[in-house]
Order: sequence, then structure tokens, then C-alpha cells
Amino acid sequence: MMTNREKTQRIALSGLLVALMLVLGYVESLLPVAAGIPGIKLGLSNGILIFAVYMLGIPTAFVLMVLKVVLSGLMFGGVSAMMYAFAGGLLSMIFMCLLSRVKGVHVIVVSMVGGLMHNVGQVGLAMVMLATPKLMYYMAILMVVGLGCGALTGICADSVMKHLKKMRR
Amino acid sequence: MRNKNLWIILAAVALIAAVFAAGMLMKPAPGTISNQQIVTITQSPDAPDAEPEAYLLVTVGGVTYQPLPLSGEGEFSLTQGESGMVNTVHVTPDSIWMADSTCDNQDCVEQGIVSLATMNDRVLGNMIICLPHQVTLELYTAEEMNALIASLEEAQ
Repeated sequence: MMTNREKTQRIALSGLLVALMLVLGYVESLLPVAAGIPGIKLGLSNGILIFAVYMLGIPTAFVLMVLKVVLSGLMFGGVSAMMYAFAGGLLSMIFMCLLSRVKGVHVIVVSMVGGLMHNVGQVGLAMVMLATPKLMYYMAILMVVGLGCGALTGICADSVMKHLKKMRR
Repeated sequence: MRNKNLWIILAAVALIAAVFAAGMLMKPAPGTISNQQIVTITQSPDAPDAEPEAYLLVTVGGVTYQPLPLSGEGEFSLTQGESGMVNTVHVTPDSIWMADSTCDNQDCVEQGIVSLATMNDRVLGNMIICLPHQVTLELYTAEEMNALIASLEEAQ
């Protein structure tokens, strides 16, 4: 069982991470990436979630994902967008959590799969809501973007975690 | 150890390729078209009675309306009851675009113009989608529309 001090530290760190994700979500919405193709986002918050999965454990990381989806939906408008963000976040978290438990899988690869699945969840839900399978081509493109951005955020998260381990010694 | 990572990445790439192939191969048509007319466009005064080269197919909330022959230029609004969801569509004889929308992310407006020239080059193809309002606009050439109507009549 965790000491009270550890619990408090965990709560404080969680709050910090959620705030970070919200800011990153806002910043990435300002960047004009690929106009005309909706939904292309850098997914910077995924890097934070990866960090949470490895450093804070899966249950806490899940809570952080839900908090991020709800809060950024409320803050940045788009309660309807929240549905899609949740679908993407859920699918991505499931895969990232499962893969993080498999030995030998590198953090960057977990992040890549997370990014890919995030977009699969979002476009997948869109196809269900609009009752059209026509978005497949679009999904393929977003999957590639998700893989790439997942790699970038994975590299960041990996660097941070490696440095933290050095600092703790 | 490295093998697992490689396998996972390869699996991801294979999945992407499969989805991509599905996207290229599938050109499904809407299942049913309701009998309702969404709106009528006044004929262009330059070429009355000309055969329309393109049609607009509008789907709102899962209901696909009668295809609109694009025989002139015009703008109309799709208002969904009292919800405040309003989409303004602009059409010309060979193109469509979302002129305005009350949705919060404005993706549909930014998706730009679908014209007969660009409909196969765009990422979203012949579609403009307003996700929050569940509105889909599709541009069909006259040939595609005739094929669509024929296949729907066969299915009945």
C-alpha cells in the first residue's frame, strides 16, 4: 500500500499531467496541419498518457485519459467532439496498456500503436455515426499520420523517462 | 527482443494497407434514398433545360434525400429542427461546398470545394462531412447518379 505521502504525490503529479495534456491539446489545435483534412492532429497528449502508463500505472493512466477527454471537450467546445475523442482515446489506451505489459516492446512502438489506434477509433466512430463505410481511405491516411506522430511523441516520452531514471539514482 | 517490435510495426503497416485497399475497392452506395426533396434549385438563366452534369446527394442524420440536380448556382440552408444546427450549402453546376455552418469546429467549411475536377483527388473524395451535425454532402457525376439510381431500383 502506498503511504499518504506517495498518494499525495500521485494526485499532484496527475493534476500536473492533465493540465499539461489540456495545454498541449490547445496548442496543437492552433497549428495549421494539413488544411482541408479534418482530424489531423499531432496527438501530443498521447506522449503524456504513455508516460502515465509506465510511471503511474494503468488505472491512473485511464483516469487521466477520461479527464483529458471530458475537460478538453468542455473547455474547448464540442461536446459532440468528446464522443470521438473518447472513442479514439479508449481504443488507443487499451492497446497501449496491453502492449506496455508485453516484455520486449519498446516505448516508441507502444506509442506508435497508440497513435494509430486513436485515429482508428475516431474515424471508426464517424463511420458508424454516419452509417457509411466510405471513410476507409481517409482512415488509412490518418492511420499513417497516427503512426508517425505516435513515433514522435514516443521518442519524447522515452527520453523523459530515461532521464528521470537517471535522476532518481 | 527487437523482433517483437518489428513484428508489431509490420502488423500495423499491414493493417493500414488493408484499410487502404478496402477504401479503394469499396464504392458503396447509400442503402436507401428517402422520397423527400431537400430543396429545389432555380434553373440557371444561362442554360435552362440543360442536362445537369452533376448531382448533390445530401444525407442528414442517416436519412439520404433525393439527389439534387445541379442545374444552376445557388445556396440553401439545412436546418435541423430547433436544435440550432444549420449548415449552409453552396452549389454550382459543377461543384459543391459548405459555405457556413453553426458547428463548433468548422471542419466542414475548411474542407473546401468538391468539384468535378477535384472529386477524385481529394482525401475525402467526393464528400464534405459535418460530423457534429451528421451532415454529408456528396458530389456525383451524372453517370454515377444514373448508376446509383439503377442499382437502387434493382435492389427493390
